[in-house]
Amino acid sequence: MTRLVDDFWKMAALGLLAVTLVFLIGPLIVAVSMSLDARGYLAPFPPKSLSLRWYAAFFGNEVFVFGLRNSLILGFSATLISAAAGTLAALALVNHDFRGKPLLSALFLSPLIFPAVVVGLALLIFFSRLGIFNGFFRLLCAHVVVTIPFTVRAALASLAGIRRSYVEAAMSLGANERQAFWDITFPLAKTGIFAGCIFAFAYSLDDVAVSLFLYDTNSTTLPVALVGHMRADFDLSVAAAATFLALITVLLIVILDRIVGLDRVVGQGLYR
Amino acid sequence: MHVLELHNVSKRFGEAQAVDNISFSVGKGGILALLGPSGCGKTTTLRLIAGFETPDRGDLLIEGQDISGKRPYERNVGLLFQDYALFPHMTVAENIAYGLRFRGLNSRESKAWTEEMLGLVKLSGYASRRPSQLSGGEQQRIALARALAINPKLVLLDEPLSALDAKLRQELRTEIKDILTRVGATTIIVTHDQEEAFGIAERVIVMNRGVIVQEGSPAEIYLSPSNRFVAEFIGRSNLLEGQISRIDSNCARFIGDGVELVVPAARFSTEVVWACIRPERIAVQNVSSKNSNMQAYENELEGVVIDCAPLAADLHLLVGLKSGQRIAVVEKNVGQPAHARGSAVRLCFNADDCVIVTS
Repeated sequence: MTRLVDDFWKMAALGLLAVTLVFLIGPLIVAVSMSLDARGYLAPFPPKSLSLRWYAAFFGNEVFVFGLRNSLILGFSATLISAAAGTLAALALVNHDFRGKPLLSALFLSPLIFPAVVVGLALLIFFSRLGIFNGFFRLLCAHVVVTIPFTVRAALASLAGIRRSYVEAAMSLGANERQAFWDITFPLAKTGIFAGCIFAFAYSLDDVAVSLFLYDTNSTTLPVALVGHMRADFDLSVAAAATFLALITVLLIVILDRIVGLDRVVGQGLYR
Repeated sequence: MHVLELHNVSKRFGEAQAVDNISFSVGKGGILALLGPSGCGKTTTLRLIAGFETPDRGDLLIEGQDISGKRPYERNVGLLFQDYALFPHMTVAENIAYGLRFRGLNSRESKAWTEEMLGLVKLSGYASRRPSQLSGGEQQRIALARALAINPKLVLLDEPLSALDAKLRQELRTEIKDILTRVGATTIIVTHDQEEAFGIAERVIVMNRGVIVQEGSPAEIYLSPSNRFVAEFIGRSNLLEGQISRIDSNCARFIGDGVELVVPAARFSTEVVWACIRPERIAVQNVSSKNSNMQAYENELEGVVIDCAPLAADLHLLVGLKSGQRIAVVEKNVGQPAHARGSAVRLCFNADDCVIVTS
């Protein structure tokens, strides 16, 4: 009897897994194969023959290339700032006890909880009040804010794993606080910090909801450009762009796995 | 001149007075142990000396210089951590050479010195290994080499043997002592383990509840504990509660717990005292075997054997007195017939085998 019940639940779980995979990977397969469609118009799935024409169209489109450039610059700068700030914040949270510490750590993680639209709108109002209209600067600030939960969380997890006696040993041997950080703490925490960076970068590259509120014509990001393009004239270069972005993400995951090991990142980096 | 002096040092953490007005000093090349149960303030004292905590009151002097305001890296104090704290991302050689970076050695000098330190702890071939590839005992010796490599004015050992198993502990104890004496390092050992303290240190400070209870050589502390806490904490002892009833010219009388004992001459007072008798100072005689040439003892107590356990070199006996008191006795295990449970025995000891302690 128990065997039968067990078998039933096992089958049900497998079925659920299959459905999940279909819903996750199905659209991706459609998007990738559509992006390789040789037909010049939006035709029914599946494509009859393959070509790279939509990729050519994507990379031939000035707005897209400009957006991609902006997105990469923005992603790298935001990640760098976010990683530095996140690591410093995590250091303070791990090493010191002070009033309002739980509140502060909740604040650092809060952008994850608020809907991106709320964050975007709030920042738009905030920057308008301050009279800041430079699109790139506004986007940079916004992306630092929304990516900081990732870098803080990852740095917190890896710093918490470093025994205090390591730093104390270094200091007793003659290292001051700064030297002890760069010689001991950072090398031991860097894989975790790096993992946070990759998540932050991927999030920044992907973001459209926050950016939509804050960009200007000089700082259009790729996702924003894609949304604009879809509204104006929808063609399959959007599918090519989506595939391209997915490729970047896959590449990042491979790098992450090579350097850190995916188990470690997913296992402790985020959900500890 | 003293290498280290503490004058009336106090440290409080919130409600807890961790260290309460303690003073002591260590001379050059001396090995001192701070011994006490957990929470007695010994670790706080160590952290105050190392510079990880700052005292609320009092002075800390190294070679006559006040160091209270100095950062840990300005003190030149070597530290052996309880968990060794070997840097996991560095090799053994890099670990030992780490402190040399800040002392202006060029890479050739640093390498030669690292080799020498490895030789000192007898791990010469280990330079390129990682800490994770070492056994506990090896890690400990590397950590000691790293602490000694900076030529510290003072070496602090925090429970150096507690993480090791019993057999290794004994081996490393002699080895640490040997290394420290050879280097001539002025050393403070912090520990709750009396074997560790007595086995390495020349002088022992017993701490309890943030204060120094007794200071002396290991023999002094064992043979004449200054109060009940020390008598109980150090070694095993039978404590009988009572009072001094009479003082004679060269001895005194103790009455309490249903027994009357001749004890060493004491100052008369009406307060409650304890007679402390170490288990190995008591001789056991069978009541049935009347032997005429038996030595006469000043104290003889009759009791019944409750338990007799031959533990390797020693025979551990538990004897119940008529008054209900239980007395532990340790005899050398030299092949004598075991005392049967329930057999009547006489516990014999002299006045000098007792120590009178107060609370």
